[in-house]
Amino acid sequence: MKESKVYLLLCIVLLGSTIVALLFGATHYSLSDIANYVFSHESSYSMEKAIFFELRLPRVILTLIVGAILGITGFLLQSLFRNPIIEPGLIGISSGAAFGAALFTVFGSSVTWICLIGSAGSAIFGALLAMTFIVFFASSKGNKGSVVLLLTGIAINALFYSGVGMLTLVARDPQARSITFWNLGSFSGADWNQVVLMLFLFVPGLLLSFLLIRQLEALQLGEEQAFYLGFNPKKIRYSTLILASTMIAIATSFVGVIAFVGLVVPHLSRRLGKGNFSNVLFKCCFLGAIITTLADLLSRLIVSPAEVPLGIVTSLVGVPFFLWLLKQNVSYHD
Amino acid sequence: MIKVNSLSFKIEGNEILKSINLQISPGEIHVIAGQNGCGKSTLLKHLSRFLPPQKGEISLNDKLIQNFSLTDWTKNTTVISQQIPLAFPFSVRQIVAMGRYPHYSWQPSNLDLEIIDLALSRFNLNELENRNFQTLSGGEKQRVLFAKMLAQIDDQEAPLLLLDEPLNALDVHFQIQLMSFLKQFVSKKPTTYCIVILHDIHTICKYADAITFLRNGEVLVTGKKEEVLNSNFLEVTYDTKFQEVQTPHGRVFIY
Repeated sequence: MKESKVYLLLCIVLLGSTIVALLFGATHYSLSDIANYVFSHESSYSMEKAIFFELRLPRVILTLIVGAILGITGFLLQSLFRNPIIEPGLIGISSGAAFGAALFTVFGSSVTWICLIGSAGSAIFGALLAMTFIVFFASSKGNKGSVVLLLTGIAINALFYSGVGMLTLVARDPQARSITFWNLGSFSGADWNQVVLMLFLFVPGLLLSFLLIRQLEALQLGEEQAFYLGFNPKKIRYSTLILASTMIAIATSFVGVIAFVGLVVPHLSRRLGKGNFSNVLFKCCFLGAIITTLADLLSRLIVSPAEVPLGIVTSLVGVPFFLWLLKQNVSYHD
Repeated sequence: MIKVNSLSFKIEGNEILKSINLQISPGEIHVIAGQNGCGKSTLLKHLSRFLPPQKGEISLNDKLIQNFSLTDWTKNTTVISQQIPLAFPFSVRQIVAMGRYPHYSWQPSNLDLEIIDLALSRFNLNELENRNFQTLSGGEKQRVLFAKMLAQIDDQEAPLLLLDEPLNALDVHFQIQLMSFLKQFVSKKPTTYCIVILHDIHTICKYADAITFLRNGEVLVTGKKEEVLNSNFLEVTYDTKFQEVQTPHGRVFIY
């Protein structure tokens, strides 16, 4: 399929998913309802209209942006580690962010500095702490290769999840439940403030990712070859890790840990058309947004009017895909 | 002239290179040979600047190589490593095009694209240009890497070519094709530095202009082929008996 056709298809599917996600949920809307809300000049108040503008619309926009961010970060990390089975949840970044946000949930009201940096700041702190550990331990013996980085990431992941477990134990009941629910991801708390913040993160994040594309492409030939093509492998590694951690930490602080989107999306993107990295990155944005929006729709519909945590839906789809992937001939090199 | 002066390198207490001294002239194929693990690749990584010297220095035309800006250095220097560990699919054209990365920062110029096309056709890769690199045979992959190398330095005045066992797993036909290319390139552009790690004595005998034999991290002998390629040095280098035989096509060494 030609690239232009792939993009046209992605645009149509994205538009379709967005419309369906706007229409269905605990409250169903018709297209004419939405057209009425948007285009009518009447200022009459109705509960449905309020729900649409204050809950449904920001939620769907947030799923689109967060989905795109998950796709981008999955792509960045897989490219950095030159490994198709990497996702933010596997190398400690998500669990670091989860730990930071859990710290805020439990101690936010009692410890001043945690209260000051807020939930997002606390999650970024957690993610960067995880990343610092990873970088420190992975490079302390002079071996700065991707394998050591990956293994350290897996260990740090386990450590931070234990930290989250401990915090759940010391938390009071509503806090503990909120940590558990939040660990499984949910868009139920979406509001316009989050949408605006995420948009401010997404646009520069996408631009910076594009600036890293050539370097990540060169890195695919190995760290030595990347150096011979004029790039500093250490710089590539740190800038990609910082960019991916920051994006994933802020997204995680708002919507919790959403597993497997970062894994599945880059794979699907690579299968759609050419392997050019810029194209794959663009497709990751589209596919991440589409898949997350549809997963969130499913989470709202399965036991409506209640909601299934999003992480459960993405794992239900993601795990079989992950297992299938392991059965494939996945190459892994350093 | 490339001058390596008292270069030493240690890793985890093991001395890989021990006070290496050698000189490499432009316009000739300089072969580095020796047993496995004698420090050939480590020496090449120092010459390419990938490893900074722990002791000693390397200079190019009396300027320390680390004093060149990395951009200038990578525009002129190209390295063929032993393995290319690709985890994701790349087309032949994409790999060759990467050779131009040091020359532009955002979009390739028309000159860059022309050089890429030339490199592809020089190694008969036009028909393969959209094929996935991972699906190619060993010989085809090596041709792609040579094309990438050519794309990187083809328009440079005094390029430095560093090749680490470029003929591994190649049949005689491809060995001749790639070594003849190097020979031709160097004779057409006599300002070229070409340093190649080779194992096959017959290929060394046929294509080398100068040779450095390494043994246990030390230079056993270095000089013009006529001066250093003989049974005595080969025997000490490889711990194997060699016999020199004169044939109508020149000297050969049998073991």
